Amino acid sequence: MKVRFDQITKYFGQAAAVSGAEFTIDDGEFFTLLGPSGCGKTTLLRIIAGFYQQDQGDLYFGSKLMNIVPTHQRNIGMVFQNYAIFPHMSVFDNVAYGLKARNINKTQIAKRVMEALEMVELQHLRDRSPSDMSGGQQQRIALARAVVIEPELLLMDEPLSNLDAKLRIKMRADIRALQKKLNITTIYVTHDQEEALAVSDRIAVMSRGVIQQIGSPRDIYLKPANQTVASFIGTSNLLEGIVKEHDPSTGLAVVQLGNQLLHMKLVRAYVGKALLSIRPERIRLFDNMRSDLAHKLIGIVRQSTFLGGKMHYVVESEQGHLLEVEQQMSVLIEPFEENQRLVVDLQLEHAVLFDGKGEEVLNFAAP
Amino acid sequence: MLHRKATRLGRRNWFGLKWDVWSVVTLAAFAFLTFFVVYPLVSLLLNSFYDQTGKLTLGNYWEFLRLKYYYSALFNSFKISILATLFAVLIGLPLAYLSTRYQIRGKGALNILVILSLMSPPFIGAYSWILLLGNNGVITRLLHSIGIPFTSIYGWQGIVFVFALQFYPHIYLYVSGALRTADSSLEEAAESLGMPAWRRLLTVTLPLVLPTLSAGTLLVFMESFADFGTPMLLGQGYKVMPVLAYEQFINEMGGNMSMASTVSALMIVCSTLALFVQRFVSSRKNYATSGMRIAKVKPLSRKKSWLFTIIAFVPASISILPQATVIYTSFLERKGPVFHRGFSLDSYIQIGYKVQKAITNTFSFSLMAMGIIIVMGVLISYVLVRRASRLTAFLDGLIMIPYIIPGTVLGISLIIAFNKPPIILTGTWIIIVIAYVARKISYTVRSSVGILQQLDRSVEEASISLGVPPMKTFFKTTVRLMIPGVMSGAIISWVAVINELSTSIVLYHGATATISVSIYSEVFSSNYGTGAALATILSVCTIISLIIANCLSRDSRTIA
Repeated sequence: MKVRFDQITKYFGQAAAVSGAEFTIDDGEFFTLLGPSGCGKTTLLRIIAGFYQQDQGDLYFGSKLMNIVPTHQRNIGMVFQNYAIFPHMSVFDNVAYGLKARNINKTQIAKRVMEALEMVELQHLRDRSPSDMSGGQQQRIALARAVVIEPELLLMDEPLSNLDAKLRIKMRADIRALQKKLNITTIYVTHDQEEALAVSDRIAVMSRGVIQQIGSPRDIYLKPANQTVASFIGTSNLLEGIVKEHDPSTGLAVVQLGNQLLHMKLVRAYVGKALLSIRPERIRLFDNMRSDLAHKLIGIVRQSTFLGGKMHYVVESEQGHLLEVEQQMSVLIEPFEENQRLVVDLQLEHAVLFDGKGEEVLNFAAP
Repeated sequence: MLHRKATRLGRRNWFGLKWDVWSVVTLAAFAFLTFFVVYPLVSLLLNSFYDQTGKLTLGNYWEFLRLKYYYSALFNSFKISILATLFAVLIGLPLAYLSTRYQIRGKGALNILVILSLMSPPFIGAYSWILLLGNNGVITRLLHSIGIPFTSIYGWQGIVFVFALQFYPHIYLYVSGALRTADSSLEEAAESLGMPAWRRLLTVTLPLVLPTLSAGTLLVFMESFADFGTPMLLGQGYKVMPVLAYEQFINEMGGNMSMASTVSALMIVCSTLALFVQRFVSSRKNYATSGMRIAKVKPLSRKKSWLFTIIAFVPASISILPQATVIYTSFLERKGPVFHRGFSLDSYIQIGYKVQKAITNTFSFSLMAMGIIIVMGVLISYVLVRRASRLTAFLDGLIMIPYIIPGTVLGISLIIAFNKPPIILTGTWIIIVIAYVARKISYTVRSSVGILQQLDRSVEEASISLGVPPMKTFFKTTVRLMIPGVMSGAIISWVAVINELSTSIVLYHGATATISVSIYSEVFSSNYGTGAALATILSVCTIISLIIANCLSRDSRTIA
């Protein structure tokens, strides 16, 4: 089922927790609301669930206006951050709860509950009390309880944040597989960008109540729409520079970074302050003074950290920028020492150039 | 960005309330408290500014300050309450330290003794001490027979003695709770900095439990200040404020309502003042400590261990004596008011026909009050927690008012408010039930609020999201999960209601006398046997109720 947001705004007191949300989630899509805590993602989810009422704008499920439909009539399945398992009921009764509310007959309930429990591999625990079960098991009960009612929409509010790291990775794969199998439109809230990248069809990155960018995980990572997205998703080095000249016919521009001049191709006319965003894995380091590199800087290693599969460096350039650099470990290359002088190569074809405020992308068209 | 006409969806009305069942509950609670607490108290206050002929005057207060008969009661009340509080701290504080920090024997038994001695209503304590230390008391005679010139327990010393033994468990329970959870690494830090043991106690341990101690101290002070039964039984001419208010109210020459109101108003001022003093002291000395490391219990040598055990059990054993005495006395064989040697059920048989009505009254009034308290407690606590606003915070404050108002005062205020048209309730059972609800509902509201705060809201939301409408969810899920917490508070309310004396004595009217009122009148007319039998019934009910409460609170902990 499609979910459409039409200029939805929600205030808490004077502050807008969500402002002007306008987008559509497609049928069967796994859609993630991603952002730091307090960005409005949970507020938006609770508006979809009907626990909050938006102050402005309209919400549609398919073509139906949902604004005044109460939660219990929205036919949604919701998984809560702390699972919200009914502690006074057995596993079976927890899962059967929503079916009982729909006045389904007993044999049907038993059949569907067992199917749901099999889906989450808990059929052997049906008569147990959930209060002494592990977080992972409780999470599965919550998931079974939400999908057994065959909801038109599955809502998940940071469902994995209370699990340990390994279980989190297994659970997120299981959730994704279940979602694909049932082909159920799913809206997923998380602050964990790796989780979001791993499970989603599309991601909406939120910050301070505003949706910053909506796109596939690849787009969000490789083509961030603004500085906020670039710095929230993964790590980005943000370097201040100036676009000195721009040739509209070729698109070529000269970007000054400290005393170094770089050449980049822009898609729009721009002259003035700019921000260069480049990922740590897109910076290469060399210990000999190679001259064949187009975009080199000179730097000194300030910090060198061994992370197992890769090395992490903090390099201070001659221009005074502190750069984070990641390099895959290899038996062929000796790690660099702290205080070592070296050549820093920026792979500008993988960099993003923003305008001076970090709001618009200059070197490629918005996806 | 598109700018279009905004669709305003909020349906919020005045006071930010959404119009639903819960706003009706809020308004009903306000109506109840306004009508049965605020209106009577305002009437009482106004009444204190009129003289007998209905003229507006400050004369009552002037009389109070002018005549020693009146102002000495205020002085006496303060003297007794302060001394009782002081002694309660002197007993309770060391006992708490001893039992939490040292390896003494029989800690479980000690705790049971202390809790048992707390639960009997204070006037039963006073009454038992009359049996033991009265003019013809068992111990009095014993002392006389070995030549010790002990007169009797009557007088202010006796009142202080009974209060201190009755109320020190508050201090003990409060402080030992705080000592158990206090972060012991702070004491270890002081030790590592070279502070000797006794100075660590003074500079670290005591300051840390001071807020808790001050809360316990306030409770003891308030209860001593408001208690009517004990000074009435033991005072013999030594007047304190609750007794004075009652006498002005009940005076055989035709009660002086203006003076009763004045005395009551002054009592309200005093207990409010005490509350503010305590808040002021503890607010400036409140430290949030995270009890990371629980205090260690010091092992003791065999000799020391026995010594400390005996020291700990002395006050606990003395304070349980009244309970034991009452039960023992109730089974004594007797002829009229005179006891004989040997045991019998005479006293119980006698209450069967003499004060049967009182027993049915106590249980029917209390059950009715409990029904109302539980329903109101559940609904009000839901509003307080889930619909928190400035309005509900105000409601919370209103609910706590009857908690700090002395029972006698509340009773007198209800009489003043409802003894004239349009609504005459005086002399009916209704007014007693209302008074019970108003006075004792706070325990149930507090414990219900407590469990509701622990209940994650998402459990209710999960139920709603699965298609169960909000009101049905409330009854099916929320109320079901609240039951243990509600009931453990409700039983405390119940225990307080069946033992209630100071309001009942003002409000009862012949046919509506309760067990506690009957005990009071039996003891006053020297029918100690029937009094003891009635008191035993109350004690047994209390003990059973508390055992149930204890089991329930264990249950609620497993759910949360």
